[in-house]
Amino acid sequence: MTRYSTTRILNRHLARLCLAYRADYRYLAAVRIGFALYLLIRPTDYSWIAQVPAALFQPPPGPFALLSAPPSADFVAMLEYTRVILALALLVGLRTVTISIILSAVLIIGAGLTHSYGKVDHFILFEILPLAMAAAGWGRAWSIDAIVSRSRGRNAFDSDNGFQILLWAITVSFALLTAAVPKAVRGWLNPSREGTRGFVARDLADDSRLGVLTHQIAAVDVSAFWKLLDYATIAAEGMLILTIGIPVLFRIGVAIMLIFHFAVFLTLGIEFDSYIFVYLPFFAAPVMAFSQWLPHRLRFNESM
Amino acid sequence: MEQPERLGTVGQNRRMLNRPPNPGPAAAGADTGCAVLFHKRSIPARTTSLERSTYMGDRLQKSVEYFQGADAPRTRKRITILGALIALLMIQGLYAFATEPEPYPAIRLPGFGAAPTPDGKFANEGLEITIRYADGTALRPSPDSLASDVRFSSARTTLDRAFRPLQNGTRNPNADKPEVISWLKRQASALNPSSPKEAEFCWRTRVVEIRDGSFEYVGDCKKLVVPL
Repeated sequence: MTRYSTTRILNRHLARLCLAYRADYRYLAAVRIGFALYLLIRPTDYSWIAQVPAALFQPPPGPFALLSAPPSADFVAMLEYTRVILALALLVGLRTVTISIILSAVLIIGAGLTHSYGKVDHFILFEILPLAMAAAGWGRAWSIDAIVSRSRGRNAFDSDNGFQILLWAITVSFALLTAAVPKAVRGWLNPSREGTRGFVARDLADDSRLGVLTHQIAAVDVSAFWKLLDYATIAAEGMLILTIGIPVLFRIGVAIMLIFHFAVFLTLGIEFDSYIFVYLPFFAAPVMAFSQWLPHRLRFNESM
Repeated sequence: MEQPERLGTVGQNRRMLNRPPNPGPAAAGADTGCAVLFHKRSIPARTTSLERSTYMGDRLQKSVEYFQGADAPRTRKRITILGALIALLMIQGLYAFATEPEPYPAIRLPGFGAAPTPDGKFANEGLEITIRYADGTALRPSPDSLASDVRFSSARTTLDRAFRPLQNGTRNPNADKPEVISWLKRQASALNPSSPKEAEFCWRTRVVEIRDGSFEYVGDCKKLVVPL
């Protein structure tokens, strides 16, 4: 009886999850290259920190609260140059693990300094992604590390990374849960209160940065539509954590989140494009399966 | 004549599971990880239900080997890491929600605030800005256009920190600091060619009608005037 104890069943399930979340190293390498290019092409601007009066420097609670004065303009410039150098190293896959860890630190420091002059933006998953993906082995293919590893006779593909991707899945779904819970407790589930509509209306009232479709969606005067959006938002954000044990459902949930972010961009003008990289590691299995199926299919068609 | 391999009965398959633990390939030094459960053997195209059950029993046996063999410490380590991550996420999440203003870094995404009232009203604190220039012009820029050199999402917070009266109603000391006034003057100058004379800030409750985004200000104004 003890053989089939809960712990053992849990262990077996964990092992199967590891396999289901395993990501091909070539796929992760593509994510790494895309991430590095994104950092080079669309870097977050830190330079404005040096333009704003030091009197407005109020770091958020946490390690940045230990800073008594804002950084110098030279430090901010050095931070930006460092980010470029690290992104280039990541692009070619040089010392990927070390570089990824330092890059995450640089992104967190940069973000922490910008948040010290205003509100906290929520790009933390993007900032810690290099750390998580370094553990998952995104430098093991299409990289200088891989070339060096092969020249030393080591097989870079002899390990698996499903557990690391599983940890990333838990982190991402927990983060999304923290977005769903406040909505649920602050009236978004109330059938007579329209949370999404209120947010769109607030943006219209501010008349600052609107989405491409803000005016069009604001014109929809159907309560059922808005309420459905509220429920869908909370379900998409809050239910993902429940699907971790069923990787197929989890991937569907993540795909829905991508659509959700795109819809938010169109309707509210909030750019979460960087979060594509946060979600991409979960799609390794279907993408690699498709990439293997397609050549077979093409050959089959040619032989017909 | 070669005899076909005999398939075990269900009972035999069950007994197979009770065999002593097998250290498995991991004992030979190979880094098998999760993959040991899903070795490359595949189910033959034509199988009977008994053959399939034998195959599944074999996979189950592999699972048992995996957790009883040389990989067991690794699995325990993984469960420990998993538990530690979940605990860490929960603790930092509780801290992030209990702390005001929001801490950083923390694994947290935006909640987008409270829903409007059932009658379709959405109340928040609005900020009206009026910049008066030497040529008699008066502009009413939005917070993000006045604080244009600040990151878009932080513009309003930056202006609040600089000029909003304190909780007890007294004047914000930041508003009288020369570097802040100089910055404000530079920002105001960028909006109009004429020389800025003064900036007036007014914080008061704004009630937005969610049907069309129209709004009205209610209540008293927390006003602050900065001579430039």
